[in-house]
Amino acid sequence: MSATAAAPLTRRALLRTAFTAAVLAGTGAALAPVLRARRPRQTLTPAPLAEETYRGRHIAVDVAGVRIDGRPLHVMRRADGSYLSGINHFQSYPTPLELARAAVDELGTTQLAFAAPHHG
Amino acid sequence: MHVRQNQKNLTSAQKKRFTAAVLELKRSGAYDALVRTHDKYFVPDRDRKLRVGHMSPSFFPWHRLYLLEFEKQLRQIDPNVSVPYWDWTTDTSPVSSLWADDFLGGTGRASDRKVMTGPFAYDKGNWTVTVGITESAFLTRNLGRPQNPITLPTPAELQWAIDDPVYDVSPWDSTATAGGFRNKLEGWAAPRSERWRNHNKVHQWIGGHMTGGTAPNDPAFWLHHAFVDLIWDRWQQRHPRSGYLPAAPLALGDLQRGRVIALDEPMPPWNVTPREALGHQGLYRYE
Repeated sequence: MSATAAAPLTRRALLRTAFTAAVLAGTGAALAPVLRARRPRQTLTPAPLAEETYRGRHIAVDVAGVRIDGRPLHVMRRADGSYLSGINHFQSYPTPLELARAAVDELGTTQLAFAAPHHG
Repeated sequence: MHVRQNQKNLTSAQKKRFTAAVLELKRSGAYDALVRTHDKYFVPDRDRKLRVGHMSPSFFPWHRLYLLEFEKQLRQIDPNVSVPYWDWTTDTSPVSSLWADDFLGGTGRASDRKVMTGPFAYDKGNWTVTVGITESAFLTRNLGRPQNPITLPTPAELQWAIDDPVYDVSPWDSTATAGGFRNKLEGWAAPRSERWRNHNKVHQWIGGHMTGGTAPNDPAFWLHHAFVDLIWDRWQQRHPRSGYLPAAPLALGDLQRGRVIALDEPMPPWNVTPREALGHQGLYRYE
């Protein structure tokens, strides 16, 4: 057995630790409103689930949909769960990101319109 | 009764009359109303809504009526014009006479897919896209999709669809893979290695506007779908004892009830049933 094991905690050390913790907790409670106020506000647009630059175009996929260079791509679903878009009606893709890349392939340098016609 | 000709047999004078009538329809605003109709009735099959135009048994009769509407309006402008058909199993080149300057014009330029030649080129001043989902007012194409090459359907691929004796099968949508002429020809049913076939693949091969819901912005749409219409005739001739399905409205509890059109149910926006559109005797014939 080693003789260099850490000294056991004395009763005094134990009390000091407990006291320090209580002071810190009290300080924390007092500062809580300040800390809360400094926390960034919840924004209306959460961070994208996927984001990338593909062939020079910015693709963002979030819960609200797919955007290419900030403009919405109209997304639809097939019965098998795959994705179609306003650009690709005759071919579907397993994920929204692949759908967006396919739309960029088809668009070339053209931009999506901000307002597109909608289905009935 | 008029004749729908193979586009490769049209004379220069016939091509000129056809494109002139299409340009006049565009000028009047009626053409863009037709483009809107196609986009409006494209309902994907995960939606719990009625699907008449795509991913459903009424794909053939709905497009038959849609082409008839277009052709009726063309013939009001020029009674000698009809919709030509494009046999995409034989005229497979992006430089065939179909895409020449005196007919539909050629492919789009590489950067933005803008069509630069023929009567529908934006710079000619007669073809501004108003029903689109991009900012561009010009017609776009990407024939053969050079950055990721695709080939047009082969005669064998088309025959594979025509040889199926069953018109359509449950669940009557794009996932119907147990067989069925409709989904094999519409092109969602395909061997795993290929994914897409026939009708869908032709839309992809042309590219540009033709891949989207506003596909009829490209007049090539009508020639493509006239051939699809002719293929329905060929299937009927090959299987005289087969008919349109579903023959009766689907039973209560069927998830597709109210979402697909049975033989005697009316199709919007014309209120015509598939039974009434099974043939076209007395209206037109194919050469």
